[in-house]
Amino acid sequence: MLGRDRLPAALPALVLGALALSGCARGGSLPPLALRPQSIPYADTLPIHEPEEREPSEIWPLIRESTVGELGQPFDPDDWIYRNEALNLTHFDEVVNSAWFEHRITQRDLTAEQMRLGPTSLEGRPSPPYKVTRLKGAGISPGLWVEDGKGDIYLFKFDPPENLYLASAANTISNRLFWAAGFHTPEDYLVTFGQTSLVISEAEGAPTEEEVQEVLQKTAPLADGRYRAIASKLLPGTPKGPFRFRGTRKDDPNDYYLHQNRRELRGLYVVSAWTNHVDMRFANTMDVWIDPPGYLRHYLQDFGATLGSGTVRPHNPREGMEYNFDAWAFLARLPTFGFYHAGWEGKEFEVIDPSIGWLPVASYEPGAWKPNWPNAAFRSATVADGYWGAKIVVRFSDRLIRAAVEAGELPDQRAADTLTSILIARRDKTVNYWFGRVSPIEGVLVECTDASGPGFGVRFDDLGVAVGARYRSNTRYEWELRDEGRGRHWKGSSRAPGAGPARLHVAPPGAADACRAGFATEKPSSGHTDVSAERLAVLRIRAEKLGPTTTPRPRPANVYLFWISDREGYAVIGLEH
Amino acid sequence: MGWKTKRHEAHIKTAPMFGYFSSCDCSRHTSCYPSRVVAGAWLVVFALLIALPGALHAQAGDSIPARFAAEQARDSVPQERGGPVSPDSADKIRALLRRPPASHPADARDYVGLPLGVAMLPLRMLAAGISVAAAGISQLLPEAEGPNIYERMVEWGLEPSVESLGYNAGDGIQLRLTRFAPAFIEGAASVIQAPGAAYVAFGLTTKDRMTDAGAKFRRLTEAQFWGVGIDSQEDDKSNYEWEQILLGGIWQAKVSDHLSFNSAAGWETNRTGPGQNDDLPDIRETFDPDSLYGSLQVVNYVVAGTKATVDFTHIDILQPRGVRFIGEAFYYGGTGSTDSDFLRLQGEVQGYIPFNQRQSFALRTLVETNPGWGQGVPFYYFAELGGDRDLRGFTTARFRDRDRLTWTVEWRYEAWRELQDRSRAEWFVFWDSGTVMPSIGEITSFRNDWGFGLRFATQTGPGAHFFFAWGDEGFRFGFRLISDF
Repeated sequence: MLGRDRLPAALPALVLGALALSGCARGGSLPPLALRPQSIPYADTLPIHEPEEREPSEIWPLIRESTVGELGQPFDPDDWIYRNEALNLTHFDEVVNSAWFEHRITQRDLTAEQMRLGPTSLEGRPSPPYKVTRLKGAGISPGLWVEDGKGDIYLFKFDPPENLYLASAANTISNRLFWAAGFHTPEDYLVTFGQTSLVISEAEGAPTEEEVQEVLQKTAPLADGRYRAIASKLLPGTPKGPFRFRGTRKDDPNDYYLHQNRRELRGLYVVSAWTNHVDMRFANTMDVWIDPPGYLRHYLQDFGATLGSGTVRPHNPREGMEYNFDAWAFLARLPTFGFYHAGWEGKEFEVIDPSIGWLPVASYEPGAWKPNWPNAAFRSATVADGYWGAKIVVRFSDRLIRAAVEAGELPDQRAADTLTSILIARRDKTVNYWFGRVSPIEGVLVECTDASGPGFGVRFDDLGVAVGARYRSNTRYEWELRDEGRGRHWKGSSRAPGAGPARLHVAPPGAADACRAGFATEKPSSGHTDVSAERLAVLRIRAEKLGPTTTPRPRPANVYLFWISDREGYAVIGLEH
Repeated sequence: MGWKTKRHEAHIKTAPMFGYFSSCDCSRHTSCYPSRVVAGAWLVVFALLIALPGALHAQAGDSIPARFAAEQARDSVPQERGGPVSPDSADKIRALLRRPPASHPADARDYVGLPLGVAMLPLRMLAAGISVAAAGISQLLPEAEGPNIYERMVEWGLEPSVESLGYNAGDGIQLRLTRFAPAFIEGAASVIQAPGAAYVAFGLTTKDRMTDAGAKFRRLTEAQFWGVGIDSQEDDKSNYEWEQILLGGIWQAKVSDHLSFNSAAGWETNRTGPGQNDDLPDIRETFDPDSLYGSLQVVNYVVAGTKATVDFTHIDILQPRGVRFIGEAFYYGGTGSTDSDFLRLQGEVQGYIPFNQRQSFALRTLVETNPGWGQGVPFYYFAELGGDRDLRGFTTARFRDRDRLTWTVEWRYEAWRELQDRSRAEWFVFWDSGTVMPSIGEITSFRNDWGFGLRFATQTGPGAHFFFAWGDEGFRFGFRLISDF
């Protein structure tokens, strides 16, 4: 997966690494990030003609991703030389709000109450009587389509009888987590009801009493005789079919970027890994026609197979470790005569708790996690996308995670505490992994210029230190300035300061650190339209851990600087991880 | 962590300016999406229309004149908007938007990638083939969308299956029409192994399908023959046509969980003629027809016999375990002008010894003898060696003689398992050895081969498999849709 831990995938890279085209630096033949146009907020919400509903077959995409996609990866030059970065970015390596993604936890502090509610509302809760209008069609969990007392339509889905709470709790919790992360999700409510609350619609096509009883027999009542279900409210708009993680939707002129090049969909890998959403695939997405004004909004839905739940059973230890059909693992077993065993194979396992299922911490590897089916956007993801996703995950504080778990209404406090602890531990592993793969610097500012000489001071926040992925005492910053317009090519390094934001003195070798106070600090800005390559300088900063380490060196961050000649100084105009 | 930007907040503040969303309560995050989204879209449109011309004409001065141009433009969006933007006018706006490229531009990698992709196409296609079978398309089909095509066919009364085409032929696809039960009509044709092999049959069957009675016409237009004996030469390959009409019935009985019988009785007539493969000589040109009983005359038999299976195997989470004994005795008595009677006796032992849940040994040995009287055994009823079931490195029925001895050792190990243990795929490496001879006491030499393959198994036992085998006549690829071992 993203961690590039597979040997077969690495071999061609080793062989052909020497052939890597020198001009094919990160970004390929695209201009540097700061010289490209930026993605535009909500540009994909302009009106379009109403598209047809589509239900394309998922079989061939899944087979394609499982075989040609997986086996072809080592033979794909895209992977040998470099991996293409996401394209729908701002100059500061971020995404903008769109029909795909809405900044929530990343740009504001959510309260515990907001987290508990997620996309739901108090007034939106289903209220009895529940009129059954039809049986649930697709999917593996038993369910009923229901019209509540307010006239709203919900899909009621039930837990497996041996694991009451399992799927409904996982669905509710993950629904809140993905919503807070910024993705569009349906309003999923937990409901408990007695059989007397269920009435069967008299409309044509409604199920019979026996058919409804048959559905209820696939679950089991709680101790008080009531049934518990997840009530997923009908999406606000007209469903137009799921979206794919590769290509674009041809009848949506707003669908501009190839999906596998979208940062949100690539970074979704990290959130999915954290929450063990192994079923993140086409079938669990939906394009919804929002009219007015008339555009497609892209939803993630059905979170029953997340956390420790496999919807109708607890997750199997293989899930998250290997695809349903893992072409490389499949082939790797041939020459080993069956003596090659992945870690999950042949081991008996017991669920953590019947209501939690199987959600490992020790064996969870954030960069090697795999969904059940390969996903083109996930496979295209780079460490920059991983870091972006981890920046979302790190925003989930212990308090917010606990609030999300509370929304799942697990049967007892012990189960809730256990699941909270697991999610916290997985969050920390996720963040430590991805923050260690890049140089996680943010908020870069040119702080001052030297009183004598061309040097200048730079200040930034090191998120690796901030989240505890590295200690200040063993952090070193290696930097390199390239400014072709002024013929500057300087290098240097410094240790992290004992406190406060990190600072670098960027100057020729031997120059004294003589920052001139009073220089107007330039706020990071992305509005420069007159930036040309002659006035662009790149400051490459690598934040790394001193001493022996088993992880690869982190990728340096590129800070794009704009030369302001009348001030004889630079302003930060872009940042790329 | 202070990397929050103000842009998002700006959108929220300006959202209520548009009348039809002004009732939206922006303190409630959920219900705010429409207003934010739409407001944002409008802002973008106005910002671009205002900012773009300015940006294009901006002087490259030192004071960065266009800084925050987009933000300033947004701030100065007029409070009134014009008429609604239609999808068509939105197209024009979309064409004006300056956005990052939608995909990565072509570069040097494309020049490397194209020839490489073509070169790797066979591998990719093979991989696709493997996984289509492994993943099991039926498992990907939505479960609740009614029965699949196979089920619909069976429900209607047309049953597709894979069946053996019998002597000198491999497996074939069979279609059996049972819509007018108890009458049935069935037909089958070879898939790969025996070109021109096919049969049609009709008759009556009982409700439990344990007894069939009827007639069958079977024809092989290009059956191949290399001569008799284990030392027959590869260069002597020739072909013949074989037509057969059978009248009779079969009866199956399951006495207990471990013992079952398959019995058959009937009458048959056999005729051979020139093979229809013009690239190969006819057997009468290559061999002395007088030495091959059945090559010149029509041969009729009454047939009766039984096959008994003593089965102590069981499937333990998709893995066979235990031992199975199969004994077969059939008497062929010549009728009319046929001066030939013979007995076919066959014994087979299959053993499955698990190493663990994922690895196992599978062993099989088979001995066959065909004692005859009068003219003896027709050449097409000789014991056969080679093909997809035994001595897999050699062509189907490559060696023939009156008696046969063969054995196989396989090491089977799991390659893939469906999550709920409904099916799995296993690799296997094998070694086959065998011989044919005039009688058991006259063994002269053995032929051997080895290879590897992949087999798919379901809860009912092993099924389709393919293999690559190497014998002393070269390499052979084989594929079977059924597995009886």
